[in-house]
Amino acid sequence: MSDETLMRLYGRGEAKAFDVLYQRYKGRLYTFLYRLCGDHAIAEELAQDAWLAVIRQATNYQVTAKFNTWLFRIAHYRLVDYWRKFGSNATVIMEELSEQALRSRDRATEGLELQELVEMLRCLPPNQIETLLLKIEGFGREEIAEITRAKPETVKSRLRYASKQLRAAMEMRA
Amino acid sequence: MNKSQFNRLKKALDQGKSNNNAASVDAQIRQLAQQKAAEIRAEQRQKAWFRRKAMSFASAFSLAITITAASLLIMSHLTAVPELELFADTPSTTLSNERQSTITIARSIDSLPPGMLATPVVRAQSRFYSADEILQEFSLPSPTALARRMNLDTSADRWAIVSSLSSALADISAMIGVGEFEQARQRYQRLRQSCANCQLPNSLEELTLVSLAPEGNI
Repeated sequence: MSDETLMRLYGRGEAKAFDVLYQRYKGRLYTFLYRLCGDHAIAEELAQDAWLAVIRQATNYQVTAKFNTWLFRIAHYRLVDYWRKFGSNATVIMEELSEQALRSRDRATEGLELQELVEMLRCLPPNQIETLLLKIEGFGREEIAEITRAKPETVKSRLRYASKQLRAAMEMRA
Repeated sequence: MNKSQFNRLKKALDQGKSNNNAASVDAQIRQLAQQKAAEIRAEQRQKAWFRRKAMSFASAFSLAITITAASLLIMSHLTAVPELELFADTPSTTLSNERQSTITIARSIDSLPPGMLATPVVRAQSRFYSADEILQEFSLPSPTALARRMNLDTSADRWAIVSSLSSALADISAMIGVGEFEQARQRYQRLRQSCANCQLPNSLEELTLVSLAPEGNI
């Protein structure tokens, strides 16, 4: 059953529909938030806020956008509020990739590639990392624009700028 | 970042997706979701109840309205007031029996000598009446009596003519009462002109004697 159908059913009082949706997205949402705020407790809090917003809006949910876009948009707003108060901390991704690079010791090339990616990511501002992560989550440019409340051209620019920065960082290393 | 680098990053990060909420947070979110679902179901049951009540009230209400309207309609037919005959003949407009018996009217006004103002004369029993005397001696007929003599199609026509006759005849009667015979005759001519369908006689004196003629003839 599609996410939108499940959400509509929940809006009519079907609690089991919410359980299915929650099971589908709880991991993805939590990981996304954790990678951008750098703290488990904070990520849990932000994720909980996002799910509570979904529960409160159950009867008002309109199928004007895909459910996952709507869910990540709610999460994005919580994240932006957090960044405003406490600053951004996207080092989690770097740590994650670094750990993987180390585990890939035996596959040297792979490890080096991951290390390079980590270095590249350090150069990027938080909103660009967020854009990148949303792209990794499988969202298209229009959806990312909807989630981050930016224009599609802005999303395109961010991705292009991210590539430019990463290329420049690589050239500097070389 | 080229496509290959992007895919590499994606693969790496996908492998790292082992993070999750704490179990306590999970339980809390699920519990709140169930509470909300229960609230929604309760609200829907209440709305359905109100909807059912409103429907049954609406149907009962419309039935009551229909019965009331039907009752009023039946009652209005049962208690209908018979049509009143307005301006019925009053004792003052009827002639005494002795005067009704032998009166003839001289209609050849043109043959009268000039200077007499076309005053038709009436021969009744043993005397002649002058025009003024006719107006003085004999009362005007009632509008209803006049209307009865006319060939009218509907009661609406009859009613309209009775209305226009009654006010004019009241004026004429008042003028005769104070001796203003010429004014009364002029008023009568205006009435004739204004009511072509009334089929009124040529002169006021003839009108005065109309009630003495058999019904159906003016």
